[in-house]
This record gives sequence, structure tokens and C-alpha cells, in this order.
Amino acid sequence: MKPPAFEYYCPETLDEALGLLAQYGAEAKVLAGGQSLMPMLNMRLSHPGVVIDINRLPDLNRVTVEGTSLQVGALVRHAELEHSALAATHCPILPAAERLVAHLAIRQRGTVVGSLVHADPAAELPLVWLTLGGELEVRSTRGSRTIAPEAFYLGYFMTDLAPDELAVAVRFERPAAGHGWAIEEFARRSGDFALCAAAAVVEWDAARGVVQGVRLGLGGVGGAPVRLDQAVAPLVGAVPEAELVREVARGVGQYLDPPDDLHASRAFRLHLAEVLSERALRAAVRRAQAKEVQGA
Amino acid sequence: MKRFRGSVDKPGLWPRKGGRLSGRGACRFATQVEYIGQRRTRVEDARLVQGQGRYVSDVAWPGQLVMAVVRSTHAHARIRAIDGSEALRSRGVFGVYTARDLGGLNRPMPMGIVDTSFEPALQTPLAADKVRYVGEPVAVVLAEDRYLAEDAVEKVRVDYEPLEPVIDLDEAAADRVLIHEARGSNVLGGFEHTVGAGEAALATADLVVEEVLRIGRVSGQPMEPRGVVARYDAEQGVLEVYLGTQSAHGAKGHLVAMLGLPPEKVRVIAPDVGGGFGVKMGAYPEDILAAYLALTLGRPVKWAGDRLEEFLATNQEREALHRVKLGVQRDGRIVALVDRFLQDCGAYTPMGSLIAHTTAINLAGAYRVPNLYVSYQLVATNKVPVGPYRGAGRPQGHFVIERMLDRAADRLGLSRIEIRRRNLIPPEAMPYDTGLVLRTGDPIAYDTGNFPEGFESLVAALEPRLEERRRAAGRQGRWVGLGVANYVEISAAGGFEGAIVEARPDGTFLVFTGAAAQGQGHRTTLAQVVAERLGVPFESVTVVEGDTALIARGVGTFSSRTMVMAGNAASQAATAMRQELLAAAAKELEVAVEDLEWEAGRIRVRGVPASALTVGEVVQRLLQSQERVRTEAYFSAKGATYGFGSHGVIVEVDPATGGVSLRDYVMVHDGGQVINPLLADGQIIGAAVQGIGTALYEEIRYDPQGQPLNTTYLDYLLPGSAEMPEFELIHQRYAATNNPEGFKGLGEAGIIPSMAVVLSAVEDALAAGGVPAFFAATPVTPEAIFAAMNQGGVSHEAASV
Amino acid sequence: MTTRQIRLTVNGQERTVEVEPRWLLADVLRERLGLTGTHLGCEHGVCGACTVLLDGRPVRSCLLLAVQADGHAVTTVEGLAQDGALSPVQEGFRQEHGLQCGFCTPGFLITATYLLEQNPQPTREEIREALSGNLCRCTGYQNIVNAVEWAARKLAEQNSAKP
Ligand SMILES: Cc1cc2nc3c(=O)[nH]c(=O)nc-3n(C[C@H](O)[C@H](O)[C@H](O)COP(=O)(O)OP(=O)(O)OC[C@H]3O[C@@H](n4cnc5c(N)ncnc54)[C@H](O)[C@@H]3O)c2cc1C
Ligand code: FES
Ligand code: FES
Repeated sequence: MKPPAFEYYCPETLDEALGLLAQYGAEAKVLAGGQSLMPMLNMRLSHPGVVIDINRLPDLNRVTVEGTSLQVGALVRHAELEHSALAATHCPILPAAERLVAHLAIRQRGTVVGSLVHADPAAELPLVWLTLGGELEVRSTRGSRTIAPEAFYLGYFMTDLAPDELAVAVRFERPAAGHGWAIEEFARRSGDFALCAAAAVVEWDAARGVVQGVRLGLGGVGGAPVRLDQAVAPLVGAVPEAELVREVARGVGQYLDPPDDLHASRAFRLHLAEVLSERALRAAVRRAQAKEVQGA
Repeated sequence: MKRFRGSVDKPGLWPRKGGRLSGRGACRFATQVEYIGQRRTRVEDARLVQGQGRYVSDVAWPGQLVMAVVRSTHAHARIRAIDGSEALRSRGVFGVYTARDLGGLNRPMPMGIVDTSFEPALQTPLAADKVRYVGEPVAVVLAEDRYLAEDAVEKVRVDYEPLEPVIDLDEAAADRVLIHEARGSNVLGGFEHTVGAGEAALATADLVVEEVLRIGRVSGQPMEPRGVVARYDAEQGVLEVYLGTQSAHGAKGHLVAMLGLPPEKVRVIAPDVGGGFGVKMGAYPEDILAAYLALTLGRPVKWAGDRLEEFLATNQEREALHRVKLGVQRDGRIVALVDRFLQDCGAYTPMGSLIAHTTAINLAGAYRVPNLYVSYQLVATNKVPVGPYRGAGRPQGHFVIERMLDRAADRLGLSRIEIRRRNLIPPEAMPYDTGLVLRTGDPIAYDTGNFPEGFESLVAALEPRLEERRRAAGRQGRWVGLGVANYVEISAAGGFEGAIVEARPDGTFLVFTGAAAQGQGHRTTLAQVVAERLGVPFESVTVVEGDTALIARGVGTFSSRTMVMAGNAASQAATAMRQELLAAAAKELEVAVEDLEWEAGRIRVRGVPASALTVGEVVQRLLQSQERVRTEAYFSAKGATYGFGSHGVIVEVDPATGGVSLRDYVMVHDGGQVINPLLADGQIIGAAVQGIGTALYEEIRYDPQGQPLNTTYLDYLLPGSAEMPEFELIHQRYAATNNPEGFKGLGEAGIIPSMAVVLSAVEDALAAGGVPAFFAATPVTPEAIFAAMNQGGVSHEAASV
Repeated sequence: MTTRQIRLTVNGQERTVEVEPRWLLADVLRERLGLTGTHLGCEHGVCGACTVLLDGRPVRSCLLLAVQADGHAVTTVEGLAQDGALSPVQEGFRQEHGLQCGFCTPGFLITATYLLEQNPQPTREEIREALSGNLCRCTGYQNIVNAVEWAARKLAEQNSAKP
């Protein structure tokens, strides 16, 4: 299990990197943290003629607040987001999600953006990105554009990213202050990819004691994460009684089309989707309500 | 026979040596130093924790070529042609070899054990005209390094004519498709054995429960993949082979047989070996090929297998299909057990019928089974060949009896604990002849132990915690259950092992043995035995293992045999050495041996302190007239050793997800005279975790085309640190009677009941939640629990009263 | 095939090697620099046997090209002992029988060393969680957890002994 031969470039400027991508296109692979690409090379499941290592590009390793978003540069490692004070303040679901991503050593090296681009259907971060909303900032010699998560994921390990494009940063939309959040997953062992995961964000109308806004996303239930705006609609403006939350969670299945595979059957995944949806929604509601109590 | 009370103590602690054990015919004289039974850290570790271990993959010779293997991508196919020309042109490539290039070498490799009970189906080093499993070696490439070798492997073109594969055991046994055409059947052999009235006795039972039990295929997965480095020393005319093996002498035998070299011209060295668990035994194609190429090319050849190859080309185990009937009386007493099973062999039988046979003789477990009938068929399938993995049939046999007892208890409305109480063999019945026989022909007669005492200590440790756990978990909507199981570890049956003790002029000693360790710590434990029997400081004894040049005869480390065989051999060689040194000192000091005292490395005349010699001085005197001061002993225990134990575990099931958490895991274990409790506990805990892997996580899966589906650590799940429980151990000590030191094998103990006990506990938890379930197959995944919840726990049972 | 010259600081020593870009750091350490204490157990990032510290942080040396380590500091298991004395983590593994075959051990030692730097008094659960990315087939983990606790105690003693 050794990588096949490739030409290796380690550009030191963004322009250089984009030039290489323009030159080699589909023949090239971007190497970020390498925690997904390197195993594929070692197993010779991928034979890129060219590897473009972006680890020495400047200015891509920052977490910042940009208006209504939290911006994460393409070289920010999982561990950095996990321990980022800005993330903890503005998007606390992100550090929580990071704790579920792989293991200590993998998180030191793997990047947030790499995980989004790699598009593993069971990965935590694409799910959270889709749930929060936001955009990916993408560059090429042709220019730059932003892509929303809804448009980005096309299927199993497939995205809207063109071969000559480099993702330079991701922006996660910050939910309103005082929101409640939760990520619930079921994995066989600590650090494994989830069989199914659910992320929820609840905005709370304290004055009326009702849910003001709610988002629910599910991962591991198909080729890409899914956001279930329709399924959770009954919760908006409602008092989140346990029965109602359960009913909403029971309804998620009709929006999903999970596969049968080595790790779980379709039926089991649908079942987990309901269970984890309920858990995530309840935990998010609880957090939102607890913040209200704290604030009072 | 003397019996010793079991003692309960805190995890990891061991009763102080107080009442020394003595087995039958204990032949020892008092020495002042006591090392046997002492908790000692290992002499191996200082090196290993500094990265100074030397494993096969660390061995590198100047000018060495690296071998990589072209493996079959088909489960069953005819090879039409192999084209290595492009590979040969690949950069850094030295050669490409197919079966045709091997000439006479490419004949069936020897079986790893002696087994004349059936005609084996043996693999040739390279597949010549047919492949029978995905992963079977088809060609090898030699190149300057592994990167270049893998480049070339990708370029070897093999033209296959695919044949229909046979994966399922029942289908294979039906012989619609033949794997070894010349044999005329996929059923390669069989066996049956009857105890008492056998199946006929079922007619007298009040209840007969019937089940089809399926044990999943698992892979041993030592952390170090297999590997070999061979070089031919032209000057000495010796082929030197570094091999990650559990049996250097066994491997040497295979090489001698295949290469046709005189035994003295082959040296096999097992350096540090990164885990074995049974799979690093027998003749593997890569070992033979690397040695052959090194010999013929005159250049060192190295093959360091990788994880993928460990999945594709290292023996796997467990898979079997059991059709079982258990007859019991209304009070739960066993009347008869009947088991007809199909043992999956995979594509070849490199280790004979060992696993099936061991399964068969483990079916009675720790219970009185007055009537028993067992038969098995050895069935070839298009999968990786089957060879021993820790336990090698013991877990399977116990799985059957323990699962069936659970089933019978449920049907009778008896508690699962109570049914075991009513069937355990009582101490008064010892020695207890099970009516089963070892391969050697010796009867299986459990010699010592107090099973009920051990089992009750387990129950006492766990039962009170169950309610507490239930209360706490109930608040979170979790269901809690308890599982218990008993076992007898039949080990160290057959063969021998040797030890040579050599005294050096500085008063230190070397011990040579053929039974090398793969983590068991023999350099420490054998030194403890020798130091105690000699009466010298532990530090003055150095154990050298795993080199066929240093001791001519040896067998190896498997079947929990080393401490029984090599331990007693070392004890005897040390005792002989002590006698020899005493005799020499007596001569020198002109007194009788009886007048001598041996203390702290000095031999002196009793009452005359001035008249003394150091051990080193005695050795120096002897060396004036002889080349070496050496004693040698070979020990072969009659029959086997029988170590009893009980496992119990409390599990928590999340009924919504099917997630299982192991809460309290208690193990009772009778290890006889234990040499080093620190290491013994480590063996038991490590084995238990492997068993938990088989119960909950691990299974090699194949698609209908015979393609293995999980050949990475992302898909084949090994137990991890976060999910494993904290174990508590309760020790019993009943010395074995078939060896003077009273040692019992214990390397496999922990794995034997762990499958059964975990399944039982999960069922108990489901029952507590109102879902009656019976798991007839391993592993029990969350998916399986989900299915049980949906079906309300109906299983394919056909019972009759 | 083009090669590149890279400079690494390995266990405090400057090392310069000429490598093919596709060579993994683990292979360069093992085969070019003679540091065979770093083991390869899976080469796909799961087993953790190859874990080394890169600029003080644990990473998989099987998922890192050696050229990527150019200009960086690497600590391997060979670099843990100081002046011939085992580090507290190494000593803990010896004292508590935290290793059997020793193949997984280097990765555990590196990961545990980092853990105790970050969290000097971890609970058993925290230890198990931090080590969940390292597989051991021999020990069943319990003694490894004991070993890390042993090291934590030792480090605490050493620190309180310091003025
Ligand atoms: C043992 C193990 C367990 C894991 N468990 C989990 C888990 O539980 N959950 C989880 O989510 N992940 C898990 N991962 C994957 C890990 O999170 C990876 O870090 C992540 O998937 C990819 O990030 P990376 O920076 O390593 O990307 P790389 O491996 O470098 O690249 C991955 C892919 O993305 C492309 N790419 C990367 N960055 C860019 C960019 N900026 N622009 C364009 N293309 C880019 C690459 O070309 C490549 O195709 C695990 C990995 C391992 C080895
Ligand atoms: S060898 Fe690198 S993680 Fe297994
Ligand atoms: S000690 Fe052998 S794998 Fe951990």
C-alpha cells in the first residue's frame, strides 16, 4: 500500500496554485490535510498524475467572523476549529461536531474545507454546513464564485467543484444569538463515520414560548446530507411539546432515500434517522430554552 | 491431590504466594528465591518502548530485493494466461515470476500440523491454472523497493476465465459447483463421535431445543502484518530466514521440505513478532517464495505484507454452521447434546481439521453432558483459507453449548444462572472423564478445579449490581441485561517443547527455547522459572528464543502451550543445571552434595562459611575440562491441561439505536500455578477483548461473487479503547496434575466464552425491555438488534416437547 | 523519477535526505533514516501505529508525504527518552504491562505523550477517548489506560517536586 508515482507541486502563492490547477485540471489532485486523499493513494484507488499540495499557501489558516458568517480558511485543521473560541461563541455546533470527527491525530491534520470538498456522505461537517447554511468560496484562473451547500453536493463524493477550482474558505451562517443546537449521531465506535447523524438548530421566541425557526439536517442517509425544511415546518410557531417533536421526527423518512450497504440496511438507516432527528430536535430545543432561563 | 481455595481479590491483584501449589509428583527442592508467581515487569519492555524492537519489516540487507504479490481478483477462475512483460519493463523491476517459473517448487505446501484424518487440499505457492479465492497469489514481482514493486504489480496482466464461485456453506456442501474438481466433492473430510447413548438419548428428554447457529468469519489481525526476509549466505551455504512466525521450527520444516535443503542449511529466526494469535503459523506461499528466490538469485529478498494482504491472504477463522439439538429434563439437567456442523475451510486446508476437531471436543464445556453426538464436515468454499485464530474451535464449541443452555433455560422458565448451576461438573466428580478424546487419543478428563465455586463467585460479584444498573439506565430509557457463561480451556495437548540452560563463567545463565513469543513475555516468565529453580537472581538469567540455530528442536507458541511445555522443560533443565553445579562444587570443595548450601549465587559448605565458591567459579572450573556447561530438557505433557473459568457481563442496550455498551465485565479464571500474574491478567483481558470483537463488531463479509467487502480498518471493525469495558478478575488456583509445575495454559481463556456471554447479556437486556430475542449468529450488530426488535425476537426455532 | 532534497529536524537532529515525492514520511523515517520504531500497521490512517509528532502535534506518518515535512520538526518514539532515561509515559507502559507484542506501542506512546501535555490529569474516559485512534490487538486496552494514569501521576509528582 504505497502511493503511485505523481508529479508533486507545492505552490507558495494562490496564483501559482490556480495556475497549476488550470494547467493540469482533472489530472491533478489538491492535497490538503491528506486524511482522505492519502489513504486513497496508498490503496491506489486514485492515480492522479499530479498532486498539488496547498499546505504552504499563505493566509488560509484563519477562523474569522465576517458579517453574519463564521469564515474558515482552507488550511484550518479540524482540531483548530474544535478549539476555536470564535466558533464556540458564534457557531457552537461546530466544535461539537468536530469532536465527533475521527480521532485526535486525524483532526490535527485534516482540514475543515477538505472534509466539505471530499463529500463523504456520512461526514459530520457537510451536514452541519448544510444545516447552518453558508457558502464555499472557490477560486480558479477563471475567477471566483461562491457555492451554497444545497447546490454543492451532487451525490456520493460528488460536488459542483470544477477540476480547476480551489476552495479557499467556507462560510457558516451564524444562527441568531440564543439559539439552541444539537448534533446527534450513531457510530459503531468513537471516531467512526456515523451510520446516521442529525443536526438541529432552533431559534426560540422567548416572549411567546414558541419555536421561531428550526432547521434539521441528516447525514448518512444517501449520497449527500439532506436538509428537511418541510418536515420540520409544523414546529415553526409551535410550542415544542414532546409529542409534536416526535411526530415531526417520525415524518422525516418520507424525504429520505438511504441505501442498503455493508454497514446498515435502508430500513435501519431510516429508523436511525427518525431516532436521531428526535434526539437532536429535543436537545436543540432544550438548549434554546436553557439559554432563555440563563438570560433571565 | 491437594486442592486450593479460590481467592477473590481486586482486579490486577494476586494472592501472595502463601500456600505454594504443588502438582502431582512435584520435584523441587527449596530455593530461597521465589520468582514463580511473582508480579514482575517485563525484561522485553525497555527495548520495545524505545522503538528498539526488531520486527521482520525492520530487517534490511544491502542489495535486497523487495517482493510484491499479484493476487487473484476472482474468487473462482481459470487462469488462461499471465503477461508480465509490461511489468518487467517497469522502473526498478528485477523480475516477474509465475507458477511456470518455479518448476518443481510449485507443488502443494505441507500442512501446518500433523493431521491424517482426511485428505487435505493444499495450496501451491503460486496458482498455476486455477484460482480459488480473491487474494490467492498468482505471480510475484521483485523490485528495488516496495513502491516500485507495487507499480509493477499493477502492470501484470492476468487473463481469467471466471467460474461460478461458491460462498455459502450449505450450497458448497451440495456440490453443484466443485472447487477442487479432482476431489469430486467440496466436502473434504468428516468426523463423528458419540458419547454415551448419543442422539438416541434425546428421546428421554423432557424438552428438546433445536437451533441453527451460525458463527461469523473473522480475521486474527495482529497489528504487525505477516512478513519474511530471506538471504542466502553462500559462504556458509546457509539460507537465513527472518520470519514473523509463531513457530520458527515449524517454518524451518516447511522450508526444508519445499526447498529440498538439508536441515542444517536452513536457519529460521523469529525476531520480535507483532502479535500472532494463531494466524502466523503453517506454510504460507510468501515465505516459501521469498526463500526460494533468495536462494536461487543469491540476493536477499524481503516481503513485508500490508494490511490489505492481511485481509486477503492470511488465514481466517470461526465460520461454521451448527445444527444443534439439546435435550434437557424439566429441572434443566442436560440429557443429550447433538451437533452436526459444517466447518468452512475456505479454499484450502493449510491447518487440517484442527479447528473443527477442537470445536467438537469443546462442545461439553464445563458441564455434565452424559450423551453427546457430534459430527462435522469440512467444506471448501471460495474464500480465504481457514486456519487457527486464538481459541481455534474452543470459542465455537462453547458458543454452542452456552447458547443452547440459554435457550433451554428460557423455554423451561428457569433462570440462565440456575440452569448452569444444575449442570456444572462438581468438584467431587474430578477427575471427570467427558467421554471425548484428544487427537492424541488421550481421554479428555478434567483433572482439577472447583467449577461451582468459581461460578458462584462470579454470580455474587455481578448479580447485586444488576438492579442498580437497571435503575440508573432505566431513567435514560436504556435496557440492561446480564449474561454468564462458563468454560474449560483445554490446552497444551500434544507435542513437546525444549529448553537448554547454559551457564556462563560470570555466573549468569542463558536459556534457549524454540517457543518464541509474540507478546506473551516468555523472556520474562521463563527466566522467572529458571531463576527460581536454579536459585539465582532473576537478572542473571537471559532467555533467547526463536532461532533454530540455537536450539535444534522446538515446536512453537500456540494453543496456550508454552508455559506448560517450555515452562516445565526450562524448570527441568534448570534443576539439572543446579544439580550439575552442586556436584561440581562438592567435588571441588571435597564434601558431599548434601553438605552444601546454595545462597545468593554462592555455594558453600554448611557451617563453614569460609569454604565457598561463587556459581561463576564453579562454572569456570567445569569449563577447564569441558567446552560448555549445558543442560537440556524436553517436556511433553500427557493429555492436556484444563483451566476453568466463568465470564459475566452486564450490558446496556439503547433500544432506539441498537447500541450496546458493556458495563461490568467480570472474569473468574483458574490458571493453575501462574508464573507472573501481571502477564497472565494481560493475556486474559486481551483475549476477552478479541472475543468481544467477534461478538459485536467483527465479520469478514463476502458478496455472492466471492469479493470480500471489508478489507480495511474502516470497514472491518476492531474493538477500540473507548468501547471496551474495565475488566475485573477473580482468580482461582488449582494446579494442573499433568505437569510437575502445575502450570495451565491460559492464553486462550479470555476468548472462549466471550462471544456467548455477550450475546446472552444483550438478549437478557432485550428481555428486560419486553422483547424476547434469540441471537443465533455472530456478530450481534445494532442492525441485528434492530431486526430483533422489529420481529419481536422470533427466531428460526423448531422445538418439541 | 525526480527526487527532492528535504531537511527535517528529527528528534532534535537535523537530517537531510533526497526523496521521491511520493514516499511516505513513515517510510523515509524507517528506511532512510534508520528509525524503525515508527511502525506501519495499516497505511490508511486507522491503526495509529505510525503516529509521530509533527511540530509537537500527533499526526499519521503514513498519511504524510515526507516532502511535506520539509523544514518541520518530527519526534518519533526514539526521541521520547531523555538522556537514556525512559519518559514517564514509557515507564508507565513498562510498569503497568501496557504492551505485549509492542507493535502498536510507539503510536500509543506518542499519542499519550501529547494527551498528557494537553491534559495532565485526564480521567480514564478521557484517556480512552484520546487513544481511540490507536488500535491494539493484544492488551485489551485496560493496562494501556493504567499506564497513562501511571504516567500522569509521575508527571504530577515531578512537577510538584520542582520549585
Ligand atoms: C481513520 C480516519 C477516520 C476518519 N473519520 C472521520 C469521521 O468520523 N468523520 C469525518 O467527517 N471525517 C473522517 N475522516 C476524514 C477526515 O475528516 C478528513 O480530514 C477529511 O475528510 C478530508 O480533509 P483533508 O484536509 O484531509 O483532505 P484531503 O485528504 O487532503 O483531500 C480530500 C479531497 O478533497 C480535495 N480537496 C481538499 N481540500 C481542497 C480544497 N481546498 N480545494 C479543492 N479540493 C480540495 C482533495 O483533492 C481530495 O480529493 C477520517 C479519516 C481517517 C483517516
Ligand atoms: S499505519 Fe498509519 S495509521 Fe496505521
Ligand atoms: S501490544 Fe500488540 S498490538 Fe498492542
